Amino acid sequence: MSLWQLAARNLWRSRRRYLAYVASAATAVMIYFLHSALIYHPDVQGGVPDSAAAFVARGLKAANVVIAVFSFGSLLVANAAFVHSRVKEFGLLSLMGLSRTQLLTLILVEGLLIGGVALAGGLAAGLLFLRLFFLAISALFPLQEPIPVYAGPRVWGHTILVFGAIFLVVSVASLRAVVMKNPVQLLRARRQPKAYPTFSRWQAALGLTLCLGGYAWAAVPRPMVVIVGVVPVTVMVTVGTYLLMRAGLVAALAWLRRRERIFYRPGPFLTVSHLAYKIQENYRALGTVAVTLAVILTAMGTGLSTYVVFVQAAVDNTPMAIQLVLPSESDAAAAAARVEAVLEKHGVAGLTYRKLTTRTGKLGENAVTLAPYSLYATIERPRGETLPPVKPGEAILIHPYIPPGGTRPEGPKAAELTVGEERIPLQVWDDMGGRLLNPLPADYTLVLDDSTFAALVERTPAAERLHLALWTGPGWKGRAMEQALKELGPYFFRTYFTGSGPLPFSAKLDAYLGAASALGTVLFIGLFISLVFFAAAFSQIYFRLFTEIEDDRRYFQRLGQLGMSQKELKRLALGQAAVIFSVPFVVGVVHSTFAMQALSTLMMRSVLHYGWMVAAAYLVLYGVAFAGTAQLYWRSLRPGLVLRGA
Amino acid sequence: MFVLQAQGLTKIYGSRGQVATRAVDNLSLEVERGEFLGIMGPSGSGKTTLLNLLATIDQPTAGTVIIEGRNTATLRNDELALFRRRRLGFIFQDYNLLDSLTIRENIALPLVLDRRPPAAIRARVEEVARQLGLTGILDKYPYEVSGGQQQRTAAARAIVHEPAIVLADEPTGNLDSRSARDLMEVLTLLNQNGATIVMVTHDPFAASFCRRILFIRDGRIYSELRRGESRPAFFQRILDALALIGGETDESVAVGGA
Ligand SMILES: Nc1ncnc2c1ncn2[C@@H]1O[C@H](COP(=O)(O)OP(=O)(O)OP(=O)(O)O)[C@@H](O)[C@H]1O
Ligand SMILES: [Mg+2]
Repeated sequence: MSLWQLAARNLWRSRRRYLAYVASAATAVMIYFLHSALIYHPDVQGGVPDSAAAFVARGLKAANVVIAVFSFGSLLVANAAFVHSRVKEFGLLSLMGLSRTQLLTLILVEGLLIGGVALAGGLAAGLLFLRLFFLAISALFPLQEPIPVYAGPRVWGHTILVFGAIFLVVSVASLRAVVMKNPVQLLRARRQPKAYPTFSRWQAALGLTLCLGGYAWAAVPRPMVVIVGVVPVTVMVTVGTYLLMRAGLVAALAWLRRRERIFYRPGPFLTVSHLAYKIQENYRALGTVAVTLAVILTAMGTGLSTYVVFVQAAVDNTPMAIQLVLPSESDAAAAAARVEAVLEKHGVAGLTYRKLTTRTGKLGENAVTLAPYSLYATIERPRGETLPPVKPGEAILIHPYIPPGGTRPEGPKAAELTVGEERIPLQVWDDMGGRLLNPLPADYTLVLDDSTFAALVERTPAAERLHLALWTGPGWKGRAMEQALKELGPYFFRTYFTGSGPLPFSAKLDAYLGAASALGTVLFIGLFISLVFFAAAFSQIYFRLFTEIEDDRRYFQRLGQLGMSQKELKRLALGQAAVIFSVPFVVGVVHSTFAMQALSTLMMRSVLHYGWMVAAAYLVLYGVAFAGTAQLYWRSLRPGLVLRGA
Repeated sequence: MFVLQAQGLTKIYGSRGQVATRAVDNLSLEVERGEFLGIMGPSGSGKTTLLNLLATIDQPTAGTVIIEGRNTATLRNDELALFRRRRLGFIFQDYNLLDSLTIRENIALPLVLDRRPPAAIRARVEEVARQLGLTGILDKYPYEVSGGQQQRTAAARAIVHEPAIVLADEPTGNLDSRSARDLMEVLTLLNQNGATIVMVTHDPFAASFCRRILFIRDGRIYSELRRGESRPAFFQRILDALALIGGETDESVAVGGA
């Protein structure tokens, strides 16, 4: 039998143990491949440099570096663990006459075989999802036309080269575990009954202090404190997690063990003792997975919060479905007619046209655009209530930004309005319910009573008047509107934009789509990277579970002989696996909750619920992966349980 | 009435091209309620295999095991498990202790599985531990105690729930003569209180506590001895029978015959 056959047979025998490892490596390959397909796409390479696709491709390039580095690190650790878990087997092989060179070749060949399978699997999956990936890109981003599917030789070459190198280095590095040892040392690695983990109260207390301290710091409601805390809190909580996963868990289980009422029942009795027994060999994996999950949840929670908050801000900031700012009365009339015609052509409904001839002035420090109360009272605004009518000598100042705290009106305060040479004393109420008009150079809006307003505009020289055409209403969204805007926007910019002064044309939908696609890109790329991290984290616990399957089988076999039925054993085995899987997830969720609390402080609004949403999505993913793993685990465990009929 | 019956039991190991071993070969036996039965025979004669078949933790190739009048082949899986848990105590040749449990917890396991109240469990565990000299090591783990202590723990676990049938596979194999005597006295007491005991042993001294001894060779019953007279006389007859049966038992006589 050749070494290749021996290696292939070894791998096949322990295929279930390697499954998650191969799957997570293949996930990394697949995502790297998909990203490369866009990065090297001819439309992106030779296309418009600042197009949305080029923007996405730049992000993906950075993402690929992260993925390659992370994959390298986690595969290195995982592969070393594999070889380590089989040292005894290698010792037996060398006693049976395999030379050192042959043994090393065998291990190398095994590593390369696994790498090859992962690479092939990843590329196959990549090819399978290629069309879907390009569909998603085209759907998510406002591109002129969908990008055609592409996977040229550079994509293949690049992926194979990078991951081939990674697998090669990882396989060579794994030889370390064996290369310096003689057969006797290898055999001695045989597992003796494990020592029961002792724990130090001191470590448990320190771990708890570090985590709680980090939480407290993150929960301080002062942005400066939070910003200063980012690095120290991350370090504190990470170190605390590892300490808690060992000393803390052992302490908690030891405590449970002394509670006879809880402990002396079949489930707790066996589960608690067995988990305590296994902690020594598993706490590192549990800690790593908890921290990785916390990072994933926090990153995605932050991405989602940023997306929602900023897209909302963009929409709030542009209340008018369409706003034209034109130099003269006649231009305004012609433009309004043109817009109405184009809207009608595309079948846009649900918009009302308003005309506003106005001027600017200064109220104290602030440049203001004037508006009549009748307009203010009839235009829907993002937040807040419309204030009661103003009399001559009174005014309402509308602030351009909605303060995070709330939208409560204040006033009145005495202030002086300067228009041209005129100075008008006013009693001014503040309205923080968001803009009335789309952004203008004079960014505050001052609402006057209709007659004062009309008289002021009347006295304004023609050159200083601003002619606004406004469309408001629920019809601002939709496919038809998008088409209409594509026709209108470029025309008005071409015709009226002078390089300075107010934008001649602005639209709510444009603002919305602009924000959504820029932030959506970040979210999209983050999602892909997080999947690689997620797969790697999951495969770590999976590997721990399957590494100990021989011990577990002996354990359950004994319990079977002592009179536990097959059904009870299954429940016990899956229950124990469920606890092992859920501990790091719960810890990760708690960590990320405090991170989201800190983010809430920074964003000055609560974003906790976005964190919960992300956690819920990953819980589903985790649950599905666990369900599959549990089935596989039980199927691998069962044949060894010598029970009736086995 | 017979508490345990085996009819035509056969167990063949090793299929698929390898040489098959008939570990137990068409063997029948009957055990009466309250009996103290010994099984002796050379190493490899099939004693452990037979005991496993009787305990229903192994499946015979042919033949039936009838426990308390019920054919085990017709019992459901969970019924069998319940039987093993409630009615049966098994002292394994290799102890079969759980490494993750302390000595105390190992002994308590059958009671916990049976959902007895914690206070009752504690009291009963301490009582058995006292009988078997384990009181001082109750909170240690199996790998922290000697082979003999592990064996006594296995014995304690097998009798802690006062089972109707105790199957013991070489329960004194690792014990000095004093501990062996203590254990045999505990088993005898249990037997006097009504438990049926089937014990495999190489040790003629331990065997002399039995009421009846079956000698097994190559998976078949070779001969049978019944104790009528005093124990020392019975002990002599066991030695004679062992000399007759030959095989590897000779050395174990030298070791265990003290
Ligand atoms: N799992 C197994 N697979 C194959 N053969 C087995 C197995 N278990 C036992 N045997 C064989 O069956 C025969 C009887 O074994 P068994 O363990 O019942 O002997 P024993 O009488 O208990 O011996 P000892 O006194 O040494 O414990 C032996 O030849 C043994 O090699
Ligand atoms: Mg035996």
